[in-house]
Amino acid sequence: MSKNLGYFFKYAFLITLSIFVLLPIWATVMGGFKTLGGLRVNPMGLPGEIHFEFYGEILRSPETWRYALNSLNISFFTVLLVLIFASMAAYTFSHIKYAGKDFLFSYLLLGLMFPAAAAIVPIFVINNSFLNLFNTHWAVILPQVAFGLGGSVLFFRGFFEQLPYELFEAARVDGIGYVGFYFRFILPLSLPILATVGVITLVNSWNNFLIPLIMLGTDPSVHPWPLGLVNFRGEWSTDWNKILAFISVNLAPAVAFFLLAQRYIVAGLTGGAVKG
Amino acid sequence: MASLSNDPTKRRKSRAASKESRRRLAAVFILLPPAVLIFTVFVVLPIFGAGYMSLFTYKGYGPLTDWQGVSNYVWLFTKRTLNTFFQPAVRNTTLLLATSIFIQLPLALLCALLIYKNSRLNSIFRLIFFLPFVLSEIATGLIWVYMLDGRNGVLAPLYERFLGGPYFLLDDKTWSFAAVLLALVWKYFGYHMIIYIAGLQGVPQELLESAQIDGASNWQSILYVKIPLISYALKLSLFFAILGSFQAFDLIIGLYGRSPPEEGQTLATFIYEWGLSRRQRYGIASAASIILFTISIVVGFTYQYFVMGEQSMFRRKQQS
Repeated sequence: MSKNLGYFFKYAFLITLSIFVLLPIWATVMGGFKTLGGLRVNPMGLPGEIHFEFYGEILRSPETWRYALNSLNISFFTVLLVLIFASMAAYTFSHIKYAGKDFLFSYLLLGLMFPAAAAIVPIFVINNSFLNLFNTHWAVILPQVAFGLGGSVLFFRGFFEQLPYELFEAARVDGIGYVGFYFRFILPLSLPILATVGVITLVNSWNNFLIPLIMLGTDPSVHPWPLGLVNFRGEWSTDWNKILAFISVNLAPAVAFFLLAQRYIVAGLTGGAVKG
Repeated sequence: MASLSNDPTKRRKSRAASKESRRRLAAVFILLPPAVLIFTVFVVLPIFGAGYMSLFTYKGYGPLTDWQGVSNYVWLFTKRTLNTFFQPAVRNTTLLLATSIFIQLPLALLCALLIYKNSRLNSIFRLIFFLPFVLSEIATGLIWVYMLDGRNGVLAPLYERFLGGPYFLLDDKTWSFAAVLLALVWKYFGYHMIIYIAGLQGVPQELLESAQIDGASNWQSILYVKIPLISYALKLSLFFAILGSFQAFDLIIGLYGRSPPEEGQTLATFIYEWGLSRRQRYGIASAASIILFTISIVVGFTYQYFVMGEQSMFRRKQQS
């Protein structure tokens, strides 16, 4: 009897919490199908009459696709550079003996602690006055890469250390150089960790708002999606059905990606948590 | 490490060793610099840059000439600034921290304990709770602006029924930050739950069984076996929750828009507003940056060394 009661409370709790999590997303997606009037009478339920025109308008608008492409461009190069630079550095930490290695490793790890917000003013000045990158995607990519390196190096080093060391010794005896070993053995053997780090970097970059906000001006043609959301909200301040449709279109790829890459996201978040 | 101990003669060995160490160095010089360089230019130099700029009055262009000494810092600590900026920023950061520690993390732990075992139903709950993590903070903020809206929002009928008319939480000077806290828990409790679940799944089954044989109740096995064994996961997630609450920015802008009101400010929004958004006073913003940086680093290191101790990421031993 008490066991049944326990089950009842457990599932009542889990279901209530699920409603708390899903209701806002549900209301957002449904809201895009409603007129303003429909939204006011019936904010939660299925739309009384379905209106496709708001979604249609947003999906046809070149603006939407431009935001998506800008996000894709920034995220792609951020992920690419993080994967290459972080894995190269991590390989020197895991396989090569040299002076100052521990110091350099700790130095890069500091990135996990440095608040990006504290660096934005000078990064803005550096990009603007010294590198002439203002309003370009590189002004966003490079700082994102820099802040992504710390955690990624930590992950890569952990993984590389697990690779059988005999392989490295055998390759050395066969006359394969250090750099050659990285390209011919480390990279091909590291696909799972490359996917994991890549997916986490992608999510962070795709969702990042602060750095693009600072590094890109007010010209929306270079803005990624999170900036686009803020622009759109400013433009249509009270037309909530349009805003909701726009948010939903923005959620769709994130949710789809989440369902596809869930395994890697979980691995990327928990890789450090189980050991210890 | 990669010694050449099977070389027959000593002389050949030493010559080979020096050649070997040159090769090693060459490899390091090819593989390491990109990461170190980009990290230095875009993370470390900017912090020094902020320190330097905080000593000047600067408008964002031309050379730094208008030396101010520490007056930007002094200005930050004058009574008026303290009241209008530091007080809300400190209060809000404290609220974010307290919400994380007393609501978000316990909720995450409770969920993790309830659904960490692998079953179809549990993995559906996990998926649901974890889903908001993948949304951007801006989208999260906007969704909650809509939820809470007094006239069109999902909660509008509730306001009508219980408060007798529309209510706008985000315009309420006293309570508006509750919206940020609500959105924070909604977005991140599942993330912490996932970390705890990974920890709990690593707890050896034999330990739980032997606790059961020894007559431990469910509560006892949670308190004395499960929680101590996932202490690393608990400490790590608290570490990220603490650092995250110092840096809160995107969620605030998502909820309040580009210029948050006084009562919604954090250190990060202050830096943005004074440096780059409206006021263009780089010296002031840099001084605030240095304060944010110092707090993060001091708390971060203190936590790593005193709470994480041997498990600190800076100390964890190499395995080879």
